[in-house]
Amino acid sequence: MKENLRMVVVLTCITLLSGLILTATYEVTAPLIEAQQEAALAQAVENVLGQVTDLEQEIIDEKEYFLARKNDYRVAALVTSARGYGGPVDVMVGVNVSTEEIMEIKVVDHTETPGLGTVIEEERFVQHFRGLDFKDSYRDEVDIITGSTVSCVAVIRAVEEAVALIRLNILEEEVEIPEDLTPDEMREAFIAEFVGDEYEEFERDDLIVYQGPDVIALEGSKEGYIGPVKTILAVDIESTELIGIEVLDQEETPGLGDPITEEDFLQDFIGQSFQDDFRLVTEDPEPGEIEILSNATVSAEAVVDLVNDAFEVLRNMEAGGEF
Amino acid sequence: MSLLNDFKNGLWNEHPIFRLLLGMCPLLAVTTTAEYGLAMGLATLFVIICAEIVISLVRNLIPKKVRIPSFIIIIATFVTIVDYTMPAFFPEIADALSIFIPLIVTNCLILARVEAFASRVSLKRAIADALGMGIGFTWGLVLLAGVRELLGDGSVFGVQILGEGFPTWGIMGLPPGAYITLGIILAVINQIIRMRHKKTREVS
Repeated sequence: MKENLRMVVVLTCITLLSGLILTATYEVTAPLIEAQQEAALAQAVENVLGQVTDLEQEIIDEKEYFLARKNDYRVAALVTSARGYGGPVDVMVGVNVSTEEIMEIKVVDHTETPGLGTVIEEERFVQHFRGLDFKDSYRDEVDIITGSTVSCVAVIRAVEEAVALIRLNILEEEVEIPEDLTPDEMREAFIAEFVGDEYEEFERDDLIVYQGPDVIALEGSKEGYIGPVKTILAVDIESTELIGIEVLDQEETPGLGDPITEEDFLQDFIGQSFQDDFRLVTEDPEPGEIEILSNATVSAEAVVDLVNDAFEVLRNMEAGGEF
Repeated sequence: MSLLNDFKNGLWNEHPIFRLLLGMCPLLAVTTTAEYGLAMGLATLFVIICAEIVISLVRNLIPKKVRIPSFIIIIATFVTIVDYTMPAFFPEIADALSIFIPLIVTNCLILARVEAFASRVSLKRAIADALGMGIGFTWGLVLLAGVRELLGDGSVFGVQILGEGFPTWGIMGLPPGAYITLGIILAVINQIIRMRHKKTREVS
């Protein structure tokens, strides 16, 4: 009993003392740490905007914007983030709002592979962005460096987002912000757009069918290069044509497999009747054919296979007089 | 005499990295540049000195049954002090070492020395041992990190040493580079020790 009591007392004393010491240390260091973080941020702003006057911070939609004047120009900087190879890549983008140009970008935080992905911090990559006009996409403007595709694409995406945000919130233009919706949100939006409010939901041959009065949507998943590729498509019953398709979820290699989620690839499916299957071709697709994306063959096949499966289900349903 | 032996023990005979192979996790993770290696070594040196002093002082008060939790709390306290202090004064280094600072708590080198040594000996001997082990760990980290930085970046402590034309070895910045370097250093040190043994045997 005596020994037990001693253990309790000793451990309590040690933890109590430890707590006291740490509280004291925290009280002393917390303001210092905060000051260091502010200094680092100010330095980052200076790195992308240079010497400026009237620097202000403004928070719009929970995002921090740094607005300032440089000579007679309005300039702005903000930090955006995109998924890289090793985790999020945070990029500070400085723009000249008056001339609608990118001034400078700086990668402020990343966990990319040393010696490969870290090229995104270097002048030979960063220089491409300097002086570019505001655009929706910078894929064609910036040279991607071999061995660091994913990291480079992450930076490009972050810059695209930053430019879009500046145009939307500072220039008050109407632009679409590339948003990451969850698969559930995308499905909901897709069904609301194509099928409408009234529909019946059931499963058929591993696919989920949402049958509305005029349009049927089918959802399913196929193995891609890395993981399942989940796709949803909508077919008009009257014309038998495919009217909408979207990739809801995928884990394909960023920068290589993930163009399957983009308009350029998916628009070739639109207008095809479900009476005929799709074929994959390497070039010059005609109606009923889909052009394989180089470097993304497996990912593209996953989408095409799913569409063909969905068409088969639709043909069987039609033969069974279900619509 | 014995104090000096306690100190020298950690520098060579029982070198924590090259002889005992302790603390491999920070070793492999943070030794990408000599500066980070030195910072990690000094952080560990601080923790091991403070922990050995405190534990040697209170060694007779702590009941045997709860000694390990007590040691861990004491070690964790000093590690957390480092974790708070480093970003306040050296934000860039703190950023680079990130998670590996809190992980000093689980560095088996510290717990091993505290449990096997500091909790059994006088304050003087504990300090001598902590200094030896801490400095031994630090020079080990700096050596490994220095080799990796030299081959991976052409520099040591940020000072360019190899000329522009040197093709840097990207692998040295990655974990496999740490394994390869460690393996080669271990082989060299083992060889040195074997040759010394041979010599002493021949002399006798």
